[in-house]
Formats: sequence, C-alpha cells, structure tokens
Amino acid sequence: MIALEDRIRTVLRCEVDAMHVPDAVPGERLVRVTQPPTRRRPLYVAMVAAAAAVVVTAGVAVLAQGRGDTPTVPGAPTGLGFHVETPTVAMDADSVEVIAADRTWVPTGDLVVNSDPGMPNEYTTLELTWHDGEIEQRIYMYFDSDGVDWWANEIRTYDGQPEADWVDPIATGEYFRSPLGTPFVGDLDLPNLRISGMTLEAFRSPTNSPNSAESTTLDTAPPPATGAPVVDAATKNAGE
Amino acid sequence: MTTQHAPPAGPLEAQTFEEFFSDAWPWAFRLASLLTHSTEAGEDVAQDALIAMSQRWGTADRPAAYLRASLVNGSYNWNRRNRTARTKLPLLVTSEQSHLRFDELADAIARLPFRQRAVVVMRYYSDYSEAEIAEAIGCRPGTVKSLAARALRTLAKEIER
Repeated sequence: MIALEDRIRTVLRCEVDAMHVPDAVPGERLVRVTQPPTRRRPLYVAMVAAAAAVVVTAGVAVLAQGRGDTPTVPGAPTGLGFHVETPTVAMDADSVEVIAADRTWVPTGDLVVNSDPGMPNEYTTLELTWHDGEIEQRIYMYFDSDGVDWWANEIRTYDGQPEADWVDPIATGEYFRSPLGTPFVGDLDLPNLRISGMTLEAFRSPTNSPNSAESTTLDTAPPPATGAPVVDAATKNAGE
Repeated sequence: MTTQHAPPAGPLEAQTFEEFFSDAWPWAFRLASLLTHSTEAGEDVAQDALIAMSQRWGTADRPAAYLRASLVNGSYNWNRRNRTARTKLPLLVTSEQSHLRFDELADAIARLPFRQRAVVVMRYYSDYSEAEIAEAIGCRPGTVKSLAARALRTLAKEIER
C-alpha cells in the first residue's frame, strides 16, 4: 500500500508540473468573471432571489396583518401551505421540517429561494436558505434529467450547529422520480428532512416559469391535485 | 521546478487581499484543477472562490481554510454539472478542457467519486492533515480515513487489472 501511496504522490506531482498556471491579477479576474459562461448562475438569478426574499417577507407580514395574529411563515406547522418557486423548480407542501441537532427547523420569514438554472432538462437545483436566530439552515435539492424523466438525486441540509455545515453523510441516491412536465406528488421522509404533502416539479417549461420578482410567493391553498402517482420517497443513503 | 502546494504560513491577517491573492492563486488553481481534472475548470473554480473571498475579505478568521473549503465546494459543483458531458464525451472533453497528463493511475484517480478523489488529492498532493481535509470537505476526520481507505482499495484494484 505504501508503494501505491508513493505512486499516487508521483502521479499528482506530475500532473501539477504539467500545468501552466495562468497569470492572474485580482482586478483582471474580477472584470472577467462579471461575464460568466452560459453554465454559470446568471445575475438575474441572484436578483430574483433577493427580490423573492423581499416578496416572501412582505407576504408573511401582509398575511399576519390580515389574520390579526402573529406572523406566519411558509412551512410553519400551522396548516398553511408552503409554496416556493423559481424559474426552474416549483414546490408546494403541507409542511417542511429539517431535523438536526435534536430539534426541528422550519423555513422562516427570511427564507431565500434560489435555483441553479443548470442545463435545460439535464440539471437544476432548489436551494432554500434561512436563519433561525443566529444559526443558518439550508435545504438543497439537486435534480437530474435524462430528457424523459427527472429525479432528485441529492438532498442536503445543514446540521443545526452554530458553525453550520452540511449533515454528514450527504444523502445521495434517487429519492423521487417523475416524467418531465409532471410534478412529483408524495411525502419525503428522510432522517434529516420531512416534507409532507409535497408537490414538486423540476425542469419547469419556460411558459410556466415566471422570470420576475414574483417567482416566490406565499400560497395558503393546499397543493394542487395532479395525476402523478403518490409515492412515499424511499429513504436512501447510498453515500459514496 | 518548485511547486507551491499550500498558502504560506504566516500572519495572514496582516495581508491585503491582493497579497493573499498573489500567494494563493497558484495553489488554488492547481488544487482546483486536480479536483476537477481540468485546468480550464480549475481556473474558473479558483477564480470564483477568490472572488467570493474578495467580497468577504477581513471576515474570515482563517482565509486559507476558507479558500480550501470554497475550492472543494466549487469543484464538487463543477463535477456535478459536467458529469453528463464527461460521461458521454470523455475523450473529446478531456482533450479540449485539460492539459493534464493521463496514465492508468491518474485516470483511476479521476474516476473516483468526488469526495474520495478530494481526499486523495488533498492527502497525497497537498499533504493536508485529516482535520484540514475534514474541514474542507465538510465531514468528520473519521470519515476522511474511511474515504481514503476506500479510495486506496479502489485504486489498488484498478492498477492490478
């Protein structure tokens, strides 16, 4: 095994020695990266995410004012529906709960919703980030597609610690699958994440994809019924 | 040829970002290139990580550790996004996107699952400690050991064929 380790060191050093390190000046780098390649997350996504956070916050405040009770946030276990959407992913649910550090976390009013637009019908994400007090919590879902179906193949949450980090091991595997153009309807029950009454569609068609600040809304209606089969997502933790 | 594998130890808090950038750029580029197995992708990932650092300069207690974790995350995301292309067009993609040399063992390292590859690169190229690797890839030191053991078993089998 020692001989193998030495060979690995040699191979890696050879690869590095073969590299030409491009010249870099901080100013030049900053200018260049403001023009990202097509696979990079476009600027409008960040703008939409920022605007979405404002819309969610405003929506929560308006809702609370109208009901005359304490502010209610999307995903809170109050019977209100949870609804988020981005240009590529939409999700409704009865409740969303992260289980970490011996407690339950629900998305709150500073929820920021984002998606990596990825590649059409190949790859996209749904990224939820919020704070509970000083602690950051996240739910990141990664979706792949083969042009016929789409499926979730990685779901990450934060561990609920003050210096928050991803729960280890990161859950990988196929969690739920649905034909392109059809939302998945069902429950997700993982050790670190429970989503009940979920209707989730990834790789939404452009005609369904609002590209505006309204991409994240608060919806008090229950998730719409669809013809998709209701399947409890199998808990998988394939790891690597 | 002297190759810098890690940022120099020293009073990083006294550095300006420009000084840190100059010190960090070569090893950040090399580490990201090894993690993505593409010099082009490595350049992009290293750029992105350093830009993120420039926007938060002064807030990270340990800039080198922060950058290391950013490089791992950026490389991981790049690998995810380009998995389909690399699977479908391995020869075309590698010849166009990389100046890396290839041999049997290098190919086997490149085929490892990302976290195993990250452990191998950081352990055998960068000589990082298990604690540093664990911090960079977001796991426990014990997980680093098991990832390394799995990687070595896989590599041993690959080169025996």
